[in-house]
Amino acid sequence: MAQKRRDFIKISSLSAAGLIFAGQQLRSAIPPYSKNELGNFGPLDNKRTPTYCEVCFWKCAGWVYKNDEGNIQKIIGNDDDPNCNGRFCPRGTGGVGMYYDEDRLKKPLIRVKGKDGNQTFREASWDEALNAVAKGLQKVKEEHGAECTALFTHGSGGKYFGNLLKAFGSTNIAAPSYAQCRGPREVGFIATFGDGLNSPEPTDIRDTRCLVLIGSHLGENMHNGQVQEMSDAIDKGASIITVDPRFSTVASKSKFWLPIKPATDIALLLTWINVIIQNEWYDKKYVEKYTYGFEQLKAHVESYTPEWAYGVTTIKPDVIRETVREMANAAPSVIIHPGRHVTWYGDDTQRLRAVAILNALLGSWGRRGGFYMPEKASVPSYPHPPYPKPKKTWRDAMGGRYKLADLALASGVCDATIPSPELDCSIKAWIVNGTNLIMTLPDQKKTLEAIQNLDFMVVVDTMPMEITGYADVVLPECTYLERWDDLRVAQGREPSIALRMPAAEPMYDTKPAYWMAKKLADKMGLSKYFSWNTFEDKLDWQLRKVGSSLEEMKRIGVKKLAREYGGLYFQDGEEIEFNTNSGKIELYSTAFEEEGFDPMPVYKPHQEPPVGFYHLNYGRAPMHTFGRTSNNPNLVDLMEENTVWVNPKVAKEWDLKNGQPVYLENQDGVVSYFTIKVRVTERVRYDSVYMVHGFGHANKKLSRAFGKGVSDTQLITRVLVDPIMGGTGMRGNFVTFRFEKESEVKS
Amino acid sequence: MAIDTEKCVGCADCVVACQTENNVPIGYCRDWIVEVTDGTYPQLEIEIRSERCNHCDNSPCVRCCPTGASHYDAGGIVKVTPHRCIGCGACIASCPYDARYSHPDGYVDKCTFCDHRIKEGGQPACVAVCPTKCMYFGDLDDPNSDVSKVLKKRKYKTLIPEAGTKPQVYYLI
Repeated sequence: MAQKRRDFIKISSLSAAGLIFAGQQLRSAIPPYSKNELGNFGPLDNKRTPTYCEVCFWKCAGWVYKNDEGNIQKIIGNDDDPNCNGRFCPRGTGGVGMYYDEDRLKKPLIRVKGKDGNQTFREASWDEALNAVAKGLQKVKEEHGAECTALFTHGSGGKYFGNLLKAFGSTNIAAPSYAQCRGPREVGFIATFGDGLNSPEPTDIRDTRCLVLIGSHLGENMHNGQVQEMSDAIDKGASIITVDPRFSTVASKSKFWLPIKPATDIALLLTWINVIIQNEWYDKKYVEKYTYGFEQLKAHVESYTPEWAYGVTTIKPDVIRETVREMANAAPSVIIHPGRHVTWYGDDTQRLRAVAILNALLGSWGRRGGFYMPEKASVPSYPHPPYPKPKKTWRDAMGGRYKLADLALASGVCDATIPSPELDCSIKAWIVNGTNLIMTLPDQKKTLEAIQNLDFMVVVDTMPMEITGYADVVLPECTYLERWDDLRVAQGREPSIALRMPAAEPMYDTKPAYWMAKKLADKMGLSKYFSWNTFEDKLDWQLRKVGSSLEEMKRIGVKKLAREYGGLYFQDGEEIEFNTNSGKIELYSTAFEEEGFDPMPVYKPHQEPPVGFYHLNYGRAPMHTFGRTSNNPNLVDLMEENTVWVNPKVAKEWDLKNGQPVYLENQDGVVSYFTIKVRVTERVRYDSVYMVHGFGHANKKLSRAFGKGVSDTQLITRVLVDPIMGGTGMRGNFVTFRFEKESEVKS
Repeated sequence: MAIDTEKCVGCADCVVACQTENNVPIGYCRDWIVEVTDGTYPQLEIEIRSERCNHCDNSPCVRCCPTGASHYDAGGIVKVTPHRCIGCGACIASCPYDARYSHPDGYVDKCTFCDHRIKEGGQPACVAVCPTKCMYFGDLDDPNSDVSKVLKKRKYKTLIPEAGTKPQVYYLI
């Protein structure tokens, strides 16, 4: 077989020469201040250091504590932080494992070709590695143009590489958290209310009387503040309605659980809308004052009766009526939760439109116990010259599609990397920061094809994730516990800022992303875009602009700022101009109509599994964040592998026993690399199986994660692309069981 | 201590918070999650419990300890004095809740209700960290403590009461 230009390389033989033991106090963290310089702040507490968590996107603020030997021992939430209220989730508490993980990337690596023709990595100095990156990017710029470079990112480091790329001349900056996750809900809500939801979502759960979750498994997805507020709501007697083919944890805490047939949610939502309108249970004043297109909506949903929906969703008509009555009784203190990972069936933007419309009819948007109006602190960027305007962007490769996407599509950038006759320049270089695209983007074959077409790829990560094996240069980042980062500027009921400072010197030969970006800027003649001297100086400059300072933040970690733009909720009868074409909440979307899409959601049936196959449903476990924590020693101790949930009826048919290892095969003949243990449970529907996402790592250098369970991403080959905004629906695959396979995976 | 099974989501934050607070080696734990599913699809119920030493009033582990390492400490907290423990494991065998483990350093270890934190006016690490606030800790003899108040208000049970150990961890149901 001919050798591919880019062979997968296992990161190997890393020396520990550069290892610096944990616990050495970072000198700059505790400067020898004189009393005058201390001002009113008093001495620093040298046992704890402020941080905000990087294990997931919630970014809770907390304190890193050290033991008497000076080693990092534990991380505890900051009581003043509105994202966590002093309580970290298991992943945040287990964040220490990210720091102590001995499988971490330890030295910069450069791809080389040996005498035998095999490609390997060799360790390099930072100067050498960064020179290679600068050279790789410059070469692409000279040969193809700066706009042929792209950044994929997840997490804090993305900001610095994003600035570097913009200075370089490209705006192809994509986060898989959009097109592979929450994008459809942003577009659906923007089309309806003129505003997206962002993060943390402004759901007023603590004061709600009725919380409706559609496929959202709050509690298993550990969105900290929301889980806390759900618990408060349970205490206050709120009712929960859960729609899920699986008996999720939250389903067990719900007044109503609707075990819906997979892929029929839109039918249920439209029926609920119809029942509300027919019974005049909607908020008449609110609908009349704030909404546009009610009459069209009324006519549109007329045929969606509970009796019709029963045949589609398998939910009984009386249950459909009873649940929507429950919502109407609670209105406006009701939340039909938009969820977060909503890229399911390719009509996701329309499903989220239906969710938004239902909320609008019940008057929950802008109301106590519904959705509050969040505010975010405005912290100025450190001054820099204007960025050059790129000649082209990834959008030019989309042939005019997905115009309603409000952020770049990671899948779109990946597509634009594969040359096609229509493109005069496809993307030739990738910077990949903190996102393991192999397990993040569906359709791995396509991702690998795109990678084969690259001239250059640099990967920045803390761990030897699969994507590192395809890089030309690997830059080892230190963990969030060992670095400064930009301020966390979170939206919420009160705007807040949080500081992250290093609790220890970086272990091994690792560096913070901001340092890498600045050094690269120097090497690429872009220094003027990174004109700050030290990162502390930059933070202090920004903090002083919002009435704080670095010295203050080192001591408090989190600061809440005053709201500037009015109250949390709409005032009675308040005049409001919504950011839509009509200036109203659009039940009938004029923006969708203009682009040629259904102005109101329509139910269209989806494919059903062939005989012997089952819907592949996947979700989260509270102690893991995607695939990025599956090697964390503390979190592996809580859950080391995923299982495939199988209904006892299905288990009987296939003669499957609890704990039995099986391979899974999808309808395209793709067989899982590894086996997964069967979990026979009544909690899953007979037409589907379920597994937790993020397992089945195929890189042996992840010593705890390698070969543990199955990767759902590997089995997702039928990507159902949302025509409105390009989201990649990932529930189009069905799987069956296999008991053996021809060859075991080698790498 | 009282633990609300209606709110617990089984996230195991209590487990990892205990491990990092008390330097419990990876692979061992002083508290753990139990999940019990009842019924058939779609008529189902789940009870989720965070379990640990019940700090029993009538503790078989204290009774059977040959060296006195296992003892009742202030406030009825059942503790082990590591340097007195010979690691014989009699207490492990006697505990109906399987709440003790052999520490690799050669002694038996278990939940202390984080008495080092309580002495400083804090709460046990598991209680303080829980994102669902499903745990209540305090003095059961004080009618005004959080735990006494919630036990007055709610239905509760204890685990394996028939063992006669008089467990002091209550599960709100």
